[in-house]
Amino acid sequence: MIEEILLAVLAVMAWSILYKQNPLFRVAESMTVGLTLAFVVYTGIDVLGKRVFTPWSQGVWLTPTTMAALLGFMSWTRLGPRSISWISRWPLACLAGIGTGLAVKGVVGPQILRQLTTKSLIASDPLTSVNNVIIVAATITTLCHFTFSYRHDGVLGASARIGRVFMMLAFGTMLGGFVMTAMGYLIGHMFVVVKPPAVYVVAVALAVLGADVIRSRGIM
Amino acid sequence: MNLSIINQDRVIFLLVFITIAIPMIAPLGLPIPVGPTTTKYFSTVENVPEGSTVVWCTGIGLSIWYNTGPGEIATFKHIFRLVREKDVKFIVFSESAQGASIVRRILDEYIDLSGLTYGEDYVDLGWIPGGEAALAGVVTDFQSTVETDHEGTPAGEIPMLRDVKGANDFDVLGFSSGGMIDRFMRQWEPLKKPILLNIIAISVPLCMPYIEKGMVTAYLNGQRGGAEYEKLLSQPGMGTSFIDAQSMIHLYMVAMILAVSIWSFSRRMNRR
Repeated sequence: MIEEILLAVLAVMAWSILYKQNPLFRVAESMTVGLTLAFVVYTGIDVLGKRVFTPWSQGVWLTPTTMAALLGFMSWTRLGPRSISWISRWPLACLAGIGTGLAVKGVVGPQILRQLTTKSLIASDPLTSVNNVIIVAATITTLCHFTFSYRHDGVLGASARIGRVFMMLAFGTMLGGFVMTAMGYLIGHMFVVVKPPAVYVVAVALAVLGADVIRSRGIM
Repeated sequence: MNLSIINQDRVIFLLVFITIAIPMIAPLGLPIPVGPTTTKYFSTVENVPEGSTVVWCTGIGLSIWYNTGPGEIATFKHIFRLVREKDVKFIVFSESAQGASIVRRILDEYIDLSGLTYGEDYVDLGWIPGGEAALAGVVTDFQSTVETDHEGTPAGEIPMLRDVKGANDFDVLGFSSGGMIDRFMRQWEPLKKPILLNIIAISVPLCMPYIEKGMVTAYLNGQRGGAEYEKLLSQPGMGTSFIDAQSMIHLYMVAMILAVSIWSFSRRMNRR
């Protein structure tokens, strides 16, 4: 019950920005940043405790996680005097080296070679065949739109215009996904605040809002 | 046609709230047609062979809980059904601190764990720090990467993890994500195992190169995918409750786009 009331209070405080800038919104904004940071720090310390300090307390000094933690601690030397700050370059070097190695190992297959291979345009399913042709047409015409070395006249101009339509369709699809995602946040919170006891918080908020509208003689 | 009133941002926002609140207070019960992508996802999970091991990485944060949460909960419910019926083993971990708390929340609040033995039927490894390196380590050198579970119990003391070495011990891989999935693909796709994906709707277009090439076996498309999956599981939940509001808000958005387009077009015509 308290969790739902708290959620409703914070949701209403966050939504209040839609009416106008106010201190309650700024409190909610700061709380979000602060709580998120606190949660990450708490979980980080918890993981360090379980996977680094506990093994050390049992005399297990070198495990992959403790070595990684050591590298992490080394990076803090950057905050110290110049005589020891050079130590922080080693974890950075390891991070860059390991990251590059991991990425390069995996990038060739899934992200290059597999993307270059293609099956026949003609598939067993007629709709898939049509889809394949559309993909090819959309790729070529969109590339034509971004060909700036030649004037967009004749065939090139027509292709560029068709490419622009394909891009508009793609952006429309992305907008649909964005709407579904963005509204998903609101719907989730609304799911909680339209039910008791959270709805009483909303009622109070609406009363405050109404009073302010009256006080300021309308929002229009 | 004077539409100056809807130029007011606050009126537009208020209408958004009302449009979403109405189906929440009085559900409309709109039909939820199940698309082929969700059907494929369901059948991929359903056809996991008996005695298999499923590895799942929860890569979502709390901010997108309401978007990907329905799909995540439904996936866990389905897999735990297979744990009971097909003796499937379930290993779950997270690549972020928030993801680990989401796993705990799902296991504690949404899954019936009675009759199941922790460490023999399923295990929660918590947050495995390291990002892409951790994803690689789980499938290449499991024992070195996973030292303890979420409570700090050494992996060697957990029966179902004792003999796990890497990818050869896993049959299905799955993950949820709120953004790019490149790191998962780089490390897991070369293993040629079925890969399941629960992804936020806005990221679906970015995943299409992997989906179209068959690298992702099946995927759930955000909140809607979650609702469809709940329907296939015959276990209505959070997603089903949201879908009326999703439909209504999309209608509202279409109406707004049409209204503004007509208004803009008519204004241009009047100028001429």
